[in-house]
Amino acid sequence: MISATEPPILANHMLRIRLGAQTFLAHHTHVAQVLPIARLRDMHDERGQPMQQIRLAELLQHTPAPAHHALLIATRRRTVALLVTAVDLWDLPSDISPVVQPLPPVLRHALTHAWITGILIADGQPLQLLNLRQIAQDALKQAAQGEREQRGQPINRSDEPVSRN
Amino acid sequence: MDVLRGESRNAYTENLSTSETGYDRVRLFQLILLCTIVGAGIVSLILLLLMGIGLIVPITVIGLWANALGAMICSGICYAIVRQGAIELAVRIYGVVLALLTFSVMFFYGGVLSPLIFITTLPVTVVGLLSSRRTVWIVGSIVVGGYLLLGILQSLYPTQIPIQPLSSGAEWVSLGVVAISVGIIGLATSSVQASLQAALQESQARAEKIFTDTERLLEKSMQQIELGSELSAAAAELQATSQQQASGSTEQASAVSQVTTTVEELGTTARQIAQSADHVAQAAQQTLEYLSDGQQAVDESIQAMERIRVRMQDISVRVLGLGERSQQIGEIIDLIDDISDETHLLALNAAIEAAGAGEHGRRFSVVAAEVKNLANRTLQAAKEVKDVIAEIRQATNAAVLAAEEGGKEVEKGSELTYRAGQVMDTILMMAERTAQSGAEIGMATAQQQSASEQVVEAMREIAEVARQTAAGARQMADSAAMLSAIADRLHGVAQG
Repeated sequence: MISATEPPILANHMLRIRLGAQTFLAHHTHVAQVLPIARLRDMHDERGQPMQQIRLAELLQHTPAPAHHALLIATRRRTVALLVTAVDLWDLPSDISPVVQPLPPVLRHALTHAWITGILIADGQPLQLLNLRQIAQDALKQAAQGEREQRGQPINRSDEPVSRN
Repeated sequence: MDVLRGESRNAYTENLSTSETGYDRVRLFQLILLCTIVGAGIVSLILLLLMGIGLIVPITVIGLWANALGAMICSGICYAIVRQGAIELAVRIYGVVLALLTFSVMFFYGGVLSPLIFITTLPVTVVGLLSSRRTVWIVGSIVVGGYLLLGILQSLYPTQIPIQPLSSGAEWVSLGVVAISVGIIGLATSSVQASLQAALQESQARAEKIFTDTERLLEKSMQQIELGSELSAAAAELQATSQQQASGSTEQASAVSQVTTTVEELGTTARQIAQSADHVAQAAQQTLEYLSDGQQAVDESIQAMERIRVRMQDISVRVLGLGERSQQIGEIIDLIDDISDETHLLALNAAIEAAGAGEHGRRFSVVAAEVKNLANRTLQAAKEVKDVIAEIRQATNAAVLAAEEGGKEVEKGSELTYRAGQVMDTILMMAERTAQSGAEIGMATAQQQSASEQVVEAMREIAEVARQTAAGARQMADSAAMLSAIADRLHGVAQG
C-alpha cells in the first residue's frame, strides 16, 4: 500500500479508466488482464466458479454507467472482474512525467475504504488513483458476506461489506 | 225567288180546287134540275093520262100519290145535296121509288097492256140517263122483278089482291114483252148515257188537259220569273264577288310583291349564314388538326411519363439496393470495429505484460504500443467510415423517399396527362361535331338560299297570276253587270 510518506510516483504506464464521463487512474500492475465483457460469459476463476463481476461505477459513484471492458484483478484465492466503460494505457512521453501526489494522512484515515491512494492533476483536472486490488478484495468480502446472510450464518463484523462511508 | 214561286204555286192550287168544286156543283145543279123536270113531267103525265082515259080516280088518291112523289123527289134531291158522294145512291132510290109508283098505278088502274105500261120505261130511262150501267141494271131488275111478282101474285091470289088477273097467255106474253122492252130501253138509255158520259169524260179529259197545259205553262212562267229573279240576284252577287275578287287580287299582288322582297332579303341572309357556317366549319377543321397534334403530344407525354415512372421505380430499387449494400458495409465496419477493439485490448494486455516484465519488456511494450496505435487508428477509421455510412444510409433513405415521392408525383402526372388526353378526346369529338354541324348548316343554308330563289320566282309568277286574276275579275264584274241587266229585262218580260 502506498503510504503518505512515500515519495510521489510517476504516472507513466498507468491505466486510465473511464466510468461514464469520469476518468480514474490505476496501476497496471493491479490488472491481470483486460477483456471485453462478452468473453466473461464462459470464464471461471481458479476455483472453477463463475467469475465475480462488479460494476465499478456503481461501487464508487452509486450511479450506473455503461460497461464494455472487464478488468481482471487477481487476489489470493479468486479473480474479480471489475466492469468499466473503457480502459486505456496512459502512455505519456518519457519527458513528461506527471506526479501522483499521495493523499494526506488526515484524508486517508478519514476514508472507510482505502480505495483511493493519490491524486493527479492533468490538464487542470484532478484524477483519482484507484487501488484496484483493495477494491477487488473488499468486493469479494462483501459478496461472501451476502452469501452467508443468504445461508443464515452470523455475520462476521470483521468482514463488513464495502461502503464508501 | 222561292217566295214568289210559292205564292204562284198556292194561287194555282186554289184555282185548281175552285175549278173542281165548281165542276161538281154544276153537275149537281144539273142533276137537281133534271130530277125536278122529270118528276114534274111524270106527275103531269100521270095526271093527264088519268084524266085523258077517263078513269074515275078519286082526287084524294091522286093528290096523295102526287104528294108522295114530290116528297120522294125532294128527299132524294136533298140527300144528294147533303152527300155529294151519295148521288149514285140517290139516283137508285129515286128510280126504284118511281118504278114502284108506276107499277102500282099500272096494275091497279090499267092492267098489263094498258098504256100506263109505257110509263114504266120512264124511271129506267131517267136512271139510264143519270147513272151508270150498273145502276141501270139494278133498277131495271127491280122493275121487271116487281112487275113479274105482281103478275104472279095476281094470278095466284086474284081475290085477295085487288088487281086484274092475267087471264090469258097473251097477257103473259105481253108481260114478258113489256119486261124485255123495259130491259132494252134501259140498256139503250144506258148506252146513250154511256156515250154521253164518254163524251163528257172526253170533254172533261180535254178540259183537264187544257187545264194541265195551262197549269204547266203557268208553272213554267213562274219558274221563268223565279229564274229571272234568281239570275238577277246571282248576277248581282257575281258582280259584287267579282269586284271583291278584283280588289282582293290587287291586294294579293301587292302582298306578293312585299313577300317577294322579304324572301329576297331572306335569301341574302341565308347566303351570309352559309358563309359564316363555312368559316365555322373551316375553323372547326383547323381546331381538329390542332387537337390532333395536341392529342399526339398528350399521348407522347403519357408515354414519357410512363417511362419516367418506370425509371423512377428502377432508381428506387437501385437506391434500396444501395441502402442494403451500405447496411452490409456497416456490418463489416462493425466487425472491423470489434476486431480493432479486440486488437486494442490485446495491445493493452501486451503493454501491461510488457510493463510487468520491466526492462525486458520494453521492446515488447513498444510493439504493443504500435499495435494499440494501429488499433486506435483502425477504430478511428472505422468510426469515420461508420459516420460516412450513416450519412450514406441517411442519404439513401432520403433518396428512397424522394424516389417514392417522385414515383407518386409521376403517377399523379400520368393521371393528369391521361385526364388531359381524355379531355382532348372530348374536345376532339366536340370539334368534329362542330365541324359536321357547320357543314350541315352550310348545306342547309345553301338549300335554303336555293329554295328562297325558287320561292322568289314562284312569288313573281303568283304576282303575275294575281294581276291576271284581277284583270279577269274586272272583266267578270263587267259581264256580271251585263248579265244583271239581262236578268232584269227577263224578269220584266216574265211578269208582264
